[in-house]
Amino acid sequence: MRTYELAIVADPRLSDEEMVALTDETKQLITARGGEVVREESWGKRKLAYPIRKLSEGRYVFLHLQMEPKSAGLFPEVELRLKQNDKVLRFLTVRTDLDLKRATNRAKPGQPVRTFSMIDDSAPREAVEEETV
Amino acid sequence: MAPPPRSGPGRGRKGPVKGGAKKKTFFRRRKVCRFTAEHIEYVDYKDVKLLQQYILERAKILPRRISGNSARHQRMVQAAIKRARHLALLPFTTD
Repeated sequence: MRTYELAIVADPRLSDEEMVALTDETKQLITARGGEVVREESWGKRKLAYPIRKLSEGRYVFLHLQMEPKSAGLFPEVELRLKQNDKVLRFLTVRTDLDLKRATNRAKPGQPVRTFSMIDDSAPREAVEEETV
Repeated sequence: MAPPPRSGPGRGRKGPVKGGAKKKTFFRRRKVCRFTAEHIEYVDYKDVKLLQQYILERAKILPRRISGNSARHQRMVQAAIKRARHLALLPFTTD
């Protein structure tokens, strides 16, 4: 089983409904090809570090995916769709199972995998590790 | 820029030079890889707040010789910063 993360930065002018429609469309595309959306993480509107297409904000969504290796063939299609969609400013797919597996192997037995976000408790971003390794 | 933590093994070559009467003695704090010290095994590109500590004013990636990161952890930080830049979570540069 592989895990992936798909990050999408969309046009800030989209309404909430349009944003839901966009993510649903993407999710459907994934599930239709044997992928599973395990978790969805939405950051809402956020200021961009630099302007993209003269826009200074973006809507951020992160989809956490899980699938068998044979389903990984869905990515070219999903990415093509995102590329062609002009509501999408940026996207990024990252395969996470290998990194997490390595991290788990290196972690002290019996202890949870420590991620970057655990360094400083003054910055409690939600820990982004799944125990699905 | 956050300095690396003061803790960690202090032994090693960069201690104060003893005995050399005329030579100036340099006290150089031994750099410690924060990630090794904290047993961090994964650096996430979404941790903007933390990644920001590893970029300089002009948004360059903080070099290893300054941060003291181990090679393995520096690679993880580097990859995370580059991913974050692509998503406009971090700047490529500042003007």
